[in-house]
Amino acid sequence: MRFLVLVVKSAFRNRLRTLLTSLGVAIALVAFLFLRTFIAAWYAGVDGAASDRLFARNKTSITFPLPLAYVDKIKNIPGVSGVGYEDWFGGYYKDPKNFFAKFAADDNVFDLFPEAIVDSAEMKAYKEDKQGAMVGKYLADKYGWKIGDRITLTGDIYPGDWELNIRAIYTSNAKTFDVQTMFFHWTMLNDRMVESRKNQVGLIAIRVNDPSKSTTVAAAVDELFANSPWETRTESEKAFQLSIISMSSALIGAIQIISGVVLLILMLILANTLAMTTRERTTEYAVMRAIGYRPNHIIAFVLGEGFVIAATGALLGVGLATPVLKFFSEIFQRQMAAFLGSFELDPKVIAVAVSFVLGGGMLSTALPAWRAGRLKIVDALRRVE
Amino acid sequence: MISKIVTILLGAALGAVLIAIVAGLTVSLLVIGVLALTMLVRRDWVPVVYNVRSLMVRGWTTGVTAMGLALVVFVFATVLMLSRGIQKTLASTGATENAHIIRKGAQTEIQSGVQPEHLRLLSAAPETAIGKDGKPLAAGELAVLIFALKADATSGSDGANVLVRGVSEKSIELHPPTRVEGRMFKPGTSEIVIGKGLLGRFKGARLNESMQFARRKWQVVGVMDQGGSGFDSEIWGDLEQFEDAFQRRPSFSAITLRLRDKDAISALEARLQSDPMLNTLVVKREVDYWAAQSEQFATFVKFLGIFVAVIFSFAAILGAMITMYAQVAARTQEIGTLRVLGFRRRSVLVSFVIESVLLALASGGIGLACASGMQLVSFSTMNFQSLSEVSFQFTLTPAIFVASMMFAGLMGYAGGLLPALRASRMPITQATRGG
Amino acid sequence: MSAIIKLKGIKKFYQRGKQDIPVLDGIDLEINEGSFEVLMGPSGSGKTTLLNLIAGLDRPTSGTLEVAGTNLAVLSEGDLAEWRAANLGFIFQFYNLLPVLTAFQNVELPLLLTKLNKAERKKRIETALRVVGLEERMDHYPRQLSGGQEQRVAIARAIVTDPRIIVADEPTGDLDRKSAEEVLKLMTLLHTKFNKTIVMVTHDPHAAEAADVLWRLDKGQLAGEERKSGASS
Repeated sequence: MRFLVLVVKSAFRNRLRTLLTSLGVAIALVAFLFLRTFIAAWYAGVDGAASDRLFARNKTSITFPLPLAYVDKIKNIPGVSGVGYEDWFGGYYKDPKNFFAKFAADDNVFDLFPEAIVDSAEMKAYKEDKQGAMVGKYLADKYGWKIGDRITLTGDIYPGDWELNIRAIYTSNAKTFDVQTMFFHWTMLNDRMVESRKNQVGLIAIRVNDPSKSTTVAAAVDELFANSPWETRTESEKAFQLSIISMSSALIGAIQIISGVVLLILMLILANTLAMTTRERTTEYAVMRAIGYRPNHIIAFVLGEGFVIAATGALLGVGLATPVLKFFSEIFQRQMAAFLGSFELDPKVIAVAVSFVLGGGMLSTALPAWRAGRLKIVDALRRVE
Repeated sequence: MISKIVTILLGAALGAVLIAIVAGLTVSLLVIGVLALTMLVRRDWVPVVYNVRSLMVRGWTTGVTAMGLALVVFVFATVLMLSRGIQKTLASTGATENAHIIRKGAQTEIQSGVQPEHLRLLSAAPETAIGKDGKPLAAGELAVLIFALKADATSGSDGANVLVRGVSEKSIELHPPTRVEGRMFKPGTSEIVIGKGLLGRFKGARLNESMQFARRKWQVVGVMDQGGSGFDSEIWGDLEQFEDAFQRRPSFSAITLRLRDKDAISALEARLQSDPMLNTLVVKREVDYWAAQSEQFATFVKFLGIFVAVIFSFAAILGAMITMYAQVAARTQEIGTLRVLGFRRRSVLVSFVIESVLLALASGGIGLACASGMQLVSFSTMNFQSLSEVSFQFTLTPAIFVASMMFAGLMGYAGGLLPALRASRMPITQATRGG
Repeated sequence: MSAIIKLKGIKKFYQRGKQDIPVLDGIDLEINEGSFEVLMGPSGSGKTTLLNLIAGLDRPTSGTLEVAGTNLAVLSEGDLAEWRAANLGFIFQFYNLLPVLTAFQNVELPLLLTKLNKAERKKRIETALRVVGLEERMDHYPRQLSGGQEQRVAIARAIVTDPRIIVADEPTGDLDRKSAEEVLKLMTLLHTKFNKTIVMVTHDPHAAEAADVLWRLDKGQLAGEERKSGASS
C-alpha cells in the first residue's frame, strides 16, 4: 500500500508536467474514440443487418427501377416469407441543407422490419391517410413535428411540391436501427407519375424463412429475372450495406490510419514526459539504491509512475469523451443523416483504447526504467546537476 | 432532458475555455510582437544561435516533440491538399465556353431527363456556336451510374458506382481528351473508352479487356486522358448504343453546347425562362456545374480534416509545452546568467518563444515535405453528392504551404508561451544558484 | 580615491509565512574605487545577499544604496539590467558559461547589449581573452575546457565591457589549488593594472590575502574590518 502512495505522490510532484501530460493523453484519447465511433457509425447498418433479410435492386444501375410486378412474382418463390418495396424519394424539406432519407414505401413497410416500434393507433391512421407520413422520432424532435402536422416536401427526382400529413412516429430499441427516415405511401407517388414511369419501385426487401437458405433464395430471385429487360441483383442486407460502405472505403481507410496515428502521438507524448522525469530522478533513484532498494524496486517504481500518469490521462479522456462525442453527434447527424447510424460510444472501444493507453504508458517507461535500474549507484550519485 | 442540459452546459464551458485560450493567445501574440520590435530597435535580443544550439543539444526530447508537431502539420496539410484536389479535379472539368443543360430541379445529370425536342430547339438558338462542319455545336448525352466490381473484389458486393456517359462525335468535340491510349470507340459498336482514373481499378478496366454491364459486354478500346478532371473517372461509349442498353430512348440526361461567346450564357438563361418549351430546363456553365457537384464533398473533407488536425494540434502543443518547460527548468542557471549580464526579462521571454517557434517551423517543414510526397498518390472515393466514384489528386498550393507553416508557427508559439513566461519571471538570485 | 559603493542602514528581510527573517540587519559600508575588497563569514551570515544587493540583483528592504554614482533603489528592473550591463562584471562560483556557446560567443554576450558593431566587438573579445591567456581557445566549447580555463573565460566575459566594478561570488570555490592561484593572480592584475574595483565573497583565506580590505559578516551584521595597511577593527 505504501508503495502505491509513494508512486502517486511522486508522479504528482511536478504537478504541472503531470497535468499537461494527462491532458495531452486525454485529448488524444478523445480524438481516437471520436474517430472509431465515426467509423462504427458507418458500419452500423452492417451490424444491424438482419440475417433473414435480402434486398433486390436493378442490376444495371442503382438509379434504375424495377417493375412493381416483380413483387408478386418474388412472393411465390419458395423460401420467401414476406416482400416489401420502397422508392428513394430524394428531395428536401424547406431547405436543401435539411437532408434526411425519404422513402415512398408499401403500406406494410414495417412488416419486414420488426426492429421498428410504432403505436398501433398511429399506424392505423397512417395506413388510412393516402397522404400520410411516418417519421422517425429523431426527425420529429429535430423539426418539431407533431401528429397531425401538415408539411411540404420539394422533390428533385420527382419534381414538384408534395404535401404530407404526419400520422405516425416510430422509434426503435435496436441501437443500429435508423430513426431518421421519413416514409409515405408509394401509391401517392405512383398516382402522380406519368404513364411511362408508373408502377416502378426502387428497392425490394425480401424476408426468408430460413436464414441459412438466404443465398439460395437470392440466387433464385436473380435467376427468375435474368435476361429480362430489368435484371436484378439480390443480396443479403449485410452485403447490401457493405457495398454502400465500400464506395467510401478509401475515406474510411484514411480515417482508420489517422486513428492509428493518434495513438502514436499519444504514446509519444507519454514517452517523452516519462523519459524526462526518469532522467531527472536519477540521483534520487541512486539514493534509494544506496539505502538498500533493489533494481527491481526501482523499475517497478518507474513503471508505476508511468501507469499513474497514463491512468490519469485515461480517466480524464474517458470523462471528456462522452460530452464531446455527444456534442459532435448532433452536428454530424445534420450533415450525414443518410449515411451514418447512431453515433454512440461503444464501451468495448473505450476498453480497448484505455488498455492501449495504460499499456502504452508502461511501455514508454520500459526503457528509462530498465536504464534506471541498471545504473551503478556511484555513477548516479556523481551526476550532480 | 438532463443529459441534454449537461451536454449544453459542457459544450458552453468547452467553448468558453477555447475562446479564452484563443483570445489570450492572440492578445499575447500582439504584445510579444511589439516587445520583439522594441528589442529589435534597442538591439538587446539574445542571440538566436543560443536557441538553435540548445535545441540541438537535447536531441532526443527535441526530436520526439518535433515528430509530434511534424505529424500534425502533415495531417493538416494533407487534408487541405485533398480538399483542394477535389475542387481542382471537379472544377477543372469542362470548359468555360461550354454550357450544360439539365432538367430543372435535378441535383445532378443522373436524375435529369431531357428530350430530343429540347436539343433541336437549343441547336437552333442564336447563343449556340456553329461547328467546323457548319452545324450547331450542341449534343445530347446520357449519364447513368452502373455498379462496377472492383478489380480485386472478393464478393459481388465489393464495387462502386461508376458514371457511364453516352456521347456522340459532337460531344467528344465539346470536351475532348488530351490524348487517347489505344483509340476512340467506333460509333454504332459495343466499344467503350475509359478514363485514366479507372484504369486497373475495376474488373475489365484495361485496354483490350471488356467490361460487363447492362446485360452486354463492352470492349475497352481506349484509355483517355482528360487532364485529371472528373471525366477521367468516366466510361464513354456510343450514345445510341447506351440509349438502347439502358432503355432510355429517346431521352437524354443532359445537353452540352458551345456558347457563341462567353457572354451568351445570360441570353441563354433568359431564353430558357421565357420559352414555354424550354422552361423545364436550367443552364449553367459546364465548369460551374461540375464545381457545384463537389462543393459539399470538398467542404465535408475540409471540415473533418481540420477538426482532426486541430485536435491533434492540442496534443502536439501540450507536447511542445512539456518539452519547453523541461528546457527552461534545465537551463535555469543559464537564464539567470543572461539576466545578470544585463539581458532584460523581455529578451528572455522572446528568446524562448522564438526557440519554440523555430522548433515548430522546422518540424512543420518536415511535415510539409512528407505531405508533398502525397501528390504522387491518388485517392478514389464516392462523391456523396453525385454518388459516383471519382479519383482525386492531392494538390499542394502556395496558399496551403503558407497556411501549414503558419499553423506550425502558431503551435510552437502556443506551446512555448507559458514556459517562456516562467523563464522570464524567474528571480535572478534564485536562478544563478541553479534554481 | 572616492567611494564608488556606499551602503547606509541596509536591511534585508525575507518573508516566511507571517515571520520576517532578517538576513541583513543594518549594514553601513563604503568601498573606494580601485579597491579589492573581500566579504567573509560563516554560511548564513548574509554575505551573498549583500553581494547581490551591491550588484543590483536584489533590492534591500530598507536603507540607501548608491553604486557607481547611481541610487539603485529608484531603478526599475529593466533599468537595473541596463545599469548592470554598463557598470558591472560578474564572476560566479560555477563559472555560469552557456554550454552551447563557444568561449568567444560567451565573452561576446555582454557586448551584444552595447552599440558596438561586429568588428569592434571582435577586437574587444580578443583583447579580453588575451588578458586571461586563452586566445587560442576562443572557438572551444566549455566542455572542452578545464575548470580553471572556464573560470578564466568567465573573467574575460566579466571585463570585456570594461566595467568599473567586478563582483565575484566564490570564484575559486570549485577550483583546484593551482587554478585558484591563477584566477587570483588575474584578479589582482585587474585591480592593480586596470584599476577595477573588486568585491569578492569567499571562504578561502588564501583569496582573502589578495585583497586590500577584508570585511567579516556575522548574522547579518558587519562584525569586523581588516585593512592591508595593517589597521584593523
